[in-house]
Amino acid sequence: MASDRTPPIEQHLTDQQQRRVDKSLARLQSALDAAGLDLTPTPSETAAPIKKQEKEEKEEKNTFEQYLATFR
Amino acid sequence: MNVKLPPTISGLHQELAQGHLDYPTVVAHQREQFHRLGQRLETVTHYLPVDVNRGFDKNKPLSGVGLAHKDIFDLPGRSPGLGRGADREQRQEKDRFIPAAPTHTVPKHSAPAIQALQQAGALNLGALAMAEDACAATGQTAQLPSALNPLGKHLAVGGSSSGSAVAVAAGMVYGSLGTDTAGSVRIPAMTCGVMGLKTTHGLISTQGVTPLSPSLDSVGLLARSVQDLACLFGALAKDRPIDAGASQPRTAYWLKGVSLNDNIRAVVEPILLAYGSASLDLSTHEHRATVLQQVIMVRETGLIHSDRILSGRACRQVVDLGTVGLAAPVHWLKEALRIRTRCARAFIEYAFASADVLLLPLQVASLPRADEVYTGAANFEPRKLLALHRYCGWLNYLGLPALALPVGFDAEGLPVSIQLVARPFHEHHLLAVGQKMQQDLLGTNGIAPVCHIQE
Repeated sequence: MASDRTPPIEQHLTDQQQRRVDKSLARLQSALDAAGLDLTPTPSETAAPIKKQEKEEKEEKNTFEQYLATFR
Repeated sequence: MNVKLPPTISGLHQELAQGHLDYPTVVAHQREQFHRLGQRLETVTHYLPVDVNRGFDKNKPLSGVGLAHKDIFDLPGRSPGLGRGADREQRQEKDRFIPAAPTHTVPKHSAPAIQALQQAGALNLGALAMAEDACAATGQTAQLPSALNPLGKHLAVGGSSSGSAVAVAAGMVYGSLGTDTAGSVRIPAMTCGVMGLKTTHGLISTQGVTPLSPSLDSVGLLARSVQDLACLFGALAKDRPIDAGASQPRTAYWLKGVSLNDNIRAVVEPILLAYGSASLDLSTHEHRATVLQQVIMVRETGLIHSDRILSGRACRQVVDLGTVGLAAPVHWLKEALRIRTRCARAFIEYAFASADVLLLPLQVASLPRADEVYTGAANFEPRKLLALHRYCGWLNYLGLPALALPVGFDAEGLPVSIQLVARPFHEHHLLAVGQKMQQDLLGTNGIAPVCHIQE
């Protein structure tokens, strides 16, 4: 997959596109709230270097696949 | 060519093995049918040559079986077409303001999933139409003709594996591979009234398959009968059983809090009550998993297609989803992935505590007309487009296998489908319950090929 650290998309958007994106993000945030989900990272995670975050994401993906594999 | 092929793969194998059918004739007939209906239904994007003289091999369960697959799989010497027209690439090339990623290198081999089917003797007749970049709930395409629904020209074809469902429903092929990120096998299967199996995430290799959202993508299969699905699944997942043995899996159903239109409920409810032994309320799990699936899908679509989005070469659906994903907080994806195992464990421990197969809603309204769900069409209704994938994506988040199964017809005579869901890697349970329901509700051979569209 492409790097997770893409340049900010905002600079490429027209005002109209930006409004549409803001609306979609607000709708997703509302859906998260309604489902009782808080995707805010803990402070230590926020401070983690990018390399470490990428490693953790890979490990989390592996954990899910390992969990599924227990049903094989 | 006056040849009548048996309705199922095992029937074809038997007829060939007993010498009642001749291999070259069978292959030539399938190729002719594929070409003739492919043009009529606008569903083939690339025709492949087939060796008529290869000969029948009784040790290969798919010997002589004509298949064709979504145009998202690598083929030797051909990159997937992905439902993109050449026009956009060429038109935008001179207007690019950001350098694009290097062009996808031309593959040397077929994707392993296609190779596995060919090793079992299957013929690959061609590549099939799909929603552009596998990113839509319908088969509408901007640059290429949209595949037509063999049940009626006015009806929508679900996406994104639209050509796969059309080719299977019309009898152009016995089966087809598709991919499912948020329902892209189950939705087209539902709209064309055939079976669609989304496999457990990670069970079938996605190598050589162009990704949309790698954490959610699964390879899936479409066919006209559950036993044909089992034949294809057996060739793809050799280490997995294809039947449940002597014991019939236990079942449960979910109806409480489910939003179904009255005409669909009238068909679905009696069937769920008849075949499901226990009632479950899955609303909370479904609600959470649906949102988390969306978070992952928008972000990963944005990352996968960032170059195409930023250079103005992506299709509208990819831009709409991916732009939101690129603008979303980076930690959303990380958190959605981090809590995935926990969500899946909680769901599995609850839902499968006393059941092996869940009978769940898939279709919430009658099959829509194309002009109701194809964007920009005269009678476009976003609500009807959303209804197509209402109960799909959450199962991709949980990584579970799901079988779209037609179970009856509505008042207008159009098919109505539900989905069966099992524990990870328990496709054999889906096939066992699906086979029983098919036998009772549709007959031994499943769905008969149909094409109501004249030349």
